[in-house]
Amino acid sequence: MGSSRLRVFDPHLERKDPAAAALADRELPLPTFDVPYFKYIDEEDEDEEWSSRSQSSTEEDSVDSLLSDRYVVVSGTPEKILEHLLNDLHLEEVQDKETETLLDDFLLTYTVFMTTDDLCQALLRHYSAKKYQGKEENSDVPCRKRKVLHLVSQWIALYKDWLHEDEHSKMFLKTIYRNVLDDVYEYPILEKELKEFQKILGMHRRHTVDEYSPQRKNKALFHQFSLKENWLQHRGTVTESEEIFCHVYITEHSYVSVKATVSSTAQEILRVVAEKIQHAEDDLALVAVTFSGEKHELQPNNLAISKSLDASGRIYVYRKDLADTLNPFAENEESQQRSIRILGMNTWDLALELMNFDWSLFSSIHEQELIYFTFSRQGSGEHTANLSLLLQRCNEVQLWVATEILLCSPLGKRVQLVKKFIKIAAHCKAQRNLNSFFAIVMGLNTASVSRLSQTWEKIPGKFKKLFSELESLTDPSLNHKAYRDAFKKMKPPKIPFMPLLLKDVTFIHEGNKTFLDNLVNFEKLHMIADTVRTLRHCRTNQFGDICPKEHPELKSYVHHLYVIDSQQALFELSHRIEPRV
Amino acid sequence: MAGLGLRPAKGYRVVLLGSVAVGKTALATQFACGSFPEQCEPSVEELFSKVIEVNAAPALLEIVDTVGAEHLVTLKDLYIKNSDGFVVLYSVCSEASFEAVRPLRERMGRLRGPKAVPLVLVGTKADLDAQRQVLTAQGRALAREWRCPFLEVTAKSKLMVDQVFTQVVREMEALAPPEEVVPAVPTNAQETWPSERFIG
Repeated sequence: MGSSRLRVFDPHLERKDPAAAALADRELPLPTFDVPYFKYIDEEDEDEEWSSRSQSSTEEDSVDSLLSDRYVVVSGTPEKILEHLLNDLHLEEVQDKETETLLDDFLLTYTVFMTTDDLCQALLRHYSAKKYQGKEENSDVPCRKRKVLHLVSQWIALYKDWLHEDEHSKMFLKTIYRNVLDDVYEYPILEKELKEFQKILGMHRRHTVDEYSPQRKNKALFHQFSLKENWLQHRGTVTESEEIFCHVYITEHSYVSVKATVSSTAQEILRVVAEKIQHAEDDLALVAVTFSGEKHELQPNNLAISKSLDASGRIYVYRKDLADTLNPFAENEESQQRSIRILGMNTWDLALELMNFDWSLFSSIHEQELIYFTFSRQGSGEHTANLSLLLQRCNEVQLWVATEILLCSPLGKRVQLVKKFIKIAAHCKAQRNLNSFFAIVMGLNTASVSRLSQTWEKIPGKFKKLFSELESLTDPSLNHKAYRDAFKKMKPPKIPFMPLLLKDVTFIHEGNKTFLDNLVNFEKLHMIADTVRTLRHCRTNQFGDICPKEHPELKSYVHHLYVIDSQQALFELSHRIEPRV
Repeated sequence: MAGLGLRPAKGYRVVLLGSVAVGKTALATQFACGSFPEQCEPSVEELFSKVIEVNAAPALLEIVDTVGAEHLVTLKDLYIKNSDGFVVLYSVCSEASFEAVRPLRERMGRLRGPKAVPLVLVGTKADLDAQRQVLTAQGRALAREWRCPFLEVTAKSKLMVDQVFTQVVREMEALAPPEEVVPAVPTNAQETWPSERFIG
């Protein structure tokens, strides 16, 4: 989007400046905007001051009384917006709620209407400017500097690693840091800000000094190598212990979702897959298959995921016969004797491990991913990796539930399995993991599963009742009122039902214009920022030790799900185990 | 429906069905926001409800958009049994999404027994001709099989989206059992939303 030139609006001009007064007296055309409380003013008048907080327009437009409660952001050239923001910042007291929100809105969404480079340049200008027009006097130079630093600190705090990965912001941070170091002699009052700045910057200095530092905590971001469909994506620098997710295909429509590391060998991956599909490891081999069909067997000590892998290829597991010839698995040739391991697992612990896994994905999502998801064309790619992972997880859990049930041919066991999943869903809800909760309920409701009447009629009444209660939480009527009300009441930490969150954000984006005749529709950006703050709220209060006990078997089970991802294949299975009467 | 004030006597619940990425949200957004210049907020309860006019009487139309199932078309049996109408969506750019809706009709028929299944089959993203994977003829053939109206639309067009809902309301009316007299809306009834004419 770049830095568009924006028009400046303010319903009430501060009439200090005679130039402003003159301007106000002029007759201004009032264009009909969707947002009636903005008023058009020529952007050439750089001398204008803008009142920081305006009453909503009491002007000719018949404006809703609701609008008077909304803050009115003054937009303008990027320069002007910044100046407005900086004017509003207080240094001693806590920011008032409106300014805090405004700052947050701005920092979260500035990429929509200006480039990072623009922002950096503007901040440097503000920092270094010797005199200002504006409310402050010239003696407030240090004050202005401190405000800029405060904004920068907030910016760093919000963006963390992402700032480091942008060339402009990297350069900017170095420059401004140097400036502050110089200035602290002339303005000792900057000492406090300098320390703050150093502390925050210190977390990132490691990167400027040593890009490949092994101490870099992998807390924030999972880098994803995914051979899903047609792309291999990876983000930023990759260290040895970097976690990756890949799909190892059994047949064209079934795979095991494997969480591994960049340094995982084919052997290690094969072990995981062999266990999942209950097949002897020795009889299996990993085969990389390119989009054009070329096959290449991975030797046990090969790295499972290497950059030389064809981006549009897939990793399959093939069977090795006595002559070491490799053969793919055929669709739906599962053995009838598949043991249902999950039946022997503790349901609560299983749910906890699910929560553990989901939480690690959820807490890795960078707030900016939501912004990218909303505003960028594809909505996917390296800027939304963690978000996509959590969405994918929701999908996989649904498929996992359906797959497990449909692969269970003995009726009695299948009934047990359905009961088990109902219990797990209830636990997910109790543990405030609504993402998996929804996924399990949807999995149980999917057509190929819900048509298993012989199974469902054997479910005891109290389980049916429980399921019905759980289902009611997923009732989509009145815009998912049931879920929204319940989720709002839950205390953080909690995981929302991600598809709905993203639908909301898509809805805001599609239902509201971003630019109205070159004016930034700040109300829209505010709404988007609100959604980001919802995410933030969910993640306050980290979970303590989620799993006090170690359950390696459960953990591994939950980390690697075996799914059939074709509705067709699932239906075939469904009709096979319970043919239509 | 809880939470609504005085409302018209007649209410329709129409469910949007289809896999992810067919544009259900875009359609629903057009329905919800199309005519209103105010900010469209996503979590409002009545967002997808509108007062419409059917045979010169006000009726409440609520569209229900299910969310979250990517490869599967998931809908509770309860919904299929208790909803009034269905809009079944697939994207003309995705063969997979077309295949995903095929099993629906049969299941709906069986679940509803003697009750009619008012539905409209809609192919979305009709403006993206270059990426088309499903021919108009295929959609039309399926609609004939299902004995329902068929439309190809783009959610960008308010006109088209309105047509979808006009059609489904028509179907619901046409397939409705012989009706007792609909009680008149009290004269002091307030309309919570500006009403829209769907059927002249």
